[in-house]
This record gives sequence, C-alpha cells and structure tokens, in this order.
Amino acid sequence: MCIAHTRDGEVARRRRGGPVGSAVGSRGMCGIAGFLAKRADGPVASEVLGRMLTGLRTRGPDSTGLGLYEPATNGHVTVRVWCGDDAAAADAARDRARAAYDIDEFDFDSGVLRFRVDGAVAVADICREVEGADATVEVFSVGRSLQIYKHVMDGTELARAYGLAGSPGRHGVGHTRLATESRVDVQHAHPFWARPFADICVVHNGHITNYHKLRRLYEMRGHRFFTGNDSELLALYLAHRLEEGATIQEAMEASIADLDGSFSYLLATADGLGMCRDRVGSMPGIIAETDDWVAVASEPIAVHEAFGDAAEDASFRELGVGRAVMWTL
Amino acid sequence: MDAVVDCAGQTTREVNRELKRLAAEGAAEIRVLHPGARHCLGVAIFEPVLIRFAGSVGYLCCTLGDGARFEVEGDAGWSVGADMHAGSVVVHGGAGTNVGASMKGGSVVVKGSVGTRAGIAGKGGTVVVGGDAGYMSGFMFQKGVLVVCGDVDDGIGDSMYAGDIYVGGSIGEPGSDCVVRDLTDADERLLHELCDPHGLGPKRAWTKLGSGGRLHNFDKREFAIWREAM
Repeated sequence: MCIAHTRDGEVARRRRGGPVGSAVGSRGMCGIAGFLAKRADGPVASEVLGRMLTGLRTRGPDSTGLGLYEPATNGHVTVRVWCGDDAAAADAARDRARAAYDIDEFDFDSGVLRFRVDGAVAVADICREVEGADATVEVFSVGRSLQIYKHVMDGTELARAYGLAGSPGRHGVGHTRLATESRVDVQHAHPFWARPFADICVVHNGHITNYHKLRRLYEMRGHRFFTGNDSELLALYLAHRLEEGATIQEAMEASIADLDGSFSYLLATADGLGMCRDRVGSMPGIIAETDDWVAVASEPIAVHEAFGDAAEDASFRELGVGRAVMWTL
Repeated sequence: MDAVVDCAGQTTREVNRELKRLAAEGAAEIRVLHPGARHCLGVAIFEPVLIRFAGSVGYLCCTLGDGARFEVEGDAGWSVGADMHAGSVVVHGGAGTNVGASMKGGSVVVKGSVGTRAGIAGKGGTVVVGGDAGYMSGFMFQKGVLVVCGDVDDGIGDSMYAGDIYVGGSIGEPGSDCVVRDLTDADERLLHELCDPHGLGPKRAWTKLGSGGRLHNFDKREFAIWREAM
C-alpha cells in the first residue's frame, strides 16, 4: 500500500520533530506492547506500559494509545466517546446519552466524553444511542474494566491529558503508531475496540492486505467503519469470530489463515492477554516472562525500558510464526 | 586495565563514537555497561578489539564488523552480526530474527535459541545456534556454514544456492530445493571444531542439508518446480 500521509499527519509529524534515532525509527513501523501481572500485588500495568511505550516511541511517532483494565466497577460499564474538538458535538452526545439512560455524571477530557451505564444494557444499543447520526462521534470503548485512551501525542503527553498516573489494574495493551496506510488522527490511533464486545481491544503492527476485500464483505453485512485503518478491520474480524462462538484462542488462530499480509497483534480481554503472529513472521513479537509477570512487545528494548537491569532476569523468546498464545489473570 | 563505556546517560551515537575511538587507540578489550537492549551498538568496528556487552543488546548490534570480536552476556535482538566481513560474535543468551544475515566471513555463535530466518542470505563465515531456530532459516544461503544444534521450523534452507547446513534436532518441512546430504568424517570434525569450544552439541544426531541445485538455472519445462518455490 502506498504511503500517503494527510496534511493533518504532516502537521503532527513536524510538530513532534520526527522520530528519535531516525535510523531505527525509519525501519520499524508501529510498536505494540502488552503486560500482565501474574499476581494481584504485582507491577501496575499502566505504569509498566507507559514505560514500555517510551521504549517503542521510535517505532511510532504519530500517535499513542493504551487499553487499560481497571478493576471492574460494580454492575456498570464505562463508556468512552470521542467527540473531537467540537463542543457542540460533545453536548449533543451528552444529551443523547442522558435522554436514553439514567446517568449520574459525565466527564470530558481532551475530546473524550466519559460516563457509566448499567451493565445490563446491550452494548450495541449504547453505541447507537450515543453516536446517533453524527459521523464524527465514535464510541472508543465500552467495558466493565476496559478504557481505551488514544491521541495524537506521545505517551507522556497521553498520560498527562487523561490523568493516567497511578491508574490501577494488572494488565493492558499499548501502541505507538507510524501511519503507513491511512490518515493520522485520533480515531485512526490504536487500540481498536472489538465492537460490540465489552472489554476486548486490539493493537496491531503490520498491514492487512486483503483489507479492502474483507471491508466490502463486512459493509455488505451492515457493519459501519469509522476509519480507513486496516487495524479497525482486525478488531471487527475478531469480534465477528467471537460472535460466531469461537473462543479468543480460536479466533486468533482463525485470523492467521484468513488475514493476508503482515501482522503481529495483541488482543486483550477483561481477564487475559493474547498475542498472534502471521505465517511468515514479517513483524516482530517477543515475549519476556518471569514468575511475576509477562510482557510482550515489538522489541526487547521496551521491556528493558520498563524494568531496567531487572529485565536481564526475564526469559525472552520470539513468538513462532503463525502462532497464537494467551495468558490469563 | 580494560576500558569501560557506560551506555547510561549517553546516546547510541555517543557510545559508538567512544567504542570506535578506543578501538582506534588500540584498546585490547572494552566492557560496555547497561546496554539495555539498545539498537545499533558496536556497528562497523574494524580493529581486532574484544567488546563485551554486560547485558542484552537490541537490533542490528555487532554488525558490519571487520575484525572486531564481541561477546554479549545477555540476549540479542534482530540481525545480530549481520553483514560481518571478519571477526566474531558470541551471544550467551538467545537472539531474534536474521542472525548473521548476509555475513561474508567471521563467526556468530548464539548459545540459546533464535528467531526466524537465521543465516538468511549468508555469503560466508559460520553461524552456530545452540538451541532451536525459527521458520525459513538458511533462506537463500549462498556460502558458508549454518549449524543449528536443536530443532528447526519449516522452510530450512529454502532456495539455498550453496553452503552447508547442519541440524542436530528435528527438521520441519524443508524449504524448496533443500536436500539431505551424507554426513562425512570431515563434517563431524568441523562440527566438533565449531561446537566444542562453546560446550554445544546436537540435540539428537546431525543431519546435513544442502542445495539440490534445481533452482540454479531457469528452465520453463520445469515450471512446476518454480511455481512451488515461488
């Protein structure tokens, strides 16, 4: 696919002054990171992933994202809705949500409206009510514990914008994006939520080359696409497999045969972390493991950035080609 | 006393400049502290210096060497030792994909297991892997020796032109035009010579692999072979 950055992308890139250490930055494209603490008193995922993304910043200077799993709130799902810079769009989305559900409070941070809804409500209904007919409003995540944070900024700025310091939770995924196939904006940033499945999200490094064919197929079935990013299709594909009754492991294994192109991706659920690699291993994917935690990433440097000298005590291995693996809390 | 370079607080470029300066001044041995799996450490060193990394290194480390010797006391990332002309790399842990890619001479020894495409496009020298090697190792191998003491995944020696590959464990589906050869006494001696100094040996028994030569020249009457190979 051609490299076609939009004007927005060029602006974002200039503002950030390009990747640090361009020799490496120009080779890799997109960084993925995942972390899972094996014990409740283990390292906090938001802090570890923040440092891992610092280690992967050269792979993705365009945007940064995190899918964090905080302990579930009793009986409620948290909804995060991208409304952009348009205050009127945010007000309208808030009014639509208030009209449909009994909501105690809303907060609004850096373009994202957040509120809680009774967990018994169907997720697809929440999306339909809140998004309405406004094409610029997109539900980024719905989950009892999942919240997706993403923006056209680096990891430090992202943590500051959304107040992520000290955010609790044992696992999650992160992404640094180098756009090569679609525009640079907040909606095109990872992670992508596996709509309409609460608490499931995906980060991806690579290209899905049968994207257009599969997208047409899903559009004919009535699915709505918010971006031109092939990784949105990956999340939709996995959601579709789950809908058909596949387990998460089965859905990942099926993707290896069904998706063409290069991919290493991570899939996170309310209680687990999965990793999958394409049949020829064109994109990297390493696993670092100790008795206390598992960290997966595009490059070992992410784990070293997160744990310093202690990373030398972890055992590192590459995930084999055409394989999928999962860890659970 | 040996020279010491600490990566902490320095950019990779600063570390490499310091390594080159010390090597040019005739240092016999340099110890590099806190490598932290950083990329591109120890690139294009042409003096016969011994550089020891006290930990793990990242992508493309110990590459483009011509005479320098390296020891990595942890793991290595992708492409360790790639494009080496002469010298040696010993990695005490494991390594990622593309170990010793396009090497022209010298030796790379990885005591643990490695990722995919070990020894890809090798043009000389030796690559020894103490553990297992991933998919498509020895792809388009042209000259030299690739030794894997453990198991190899599918596609070993795919489209190799020449050179010798030895596997000490199980072999997945061999690559296009990669064939089994008889193991000679000279092969056994070579394997002892390459593996014994590092305490390595075959997981089970050695198998020698080489090019079947069917892909050396294109003949449209053999189109089926090419269709399979491509």
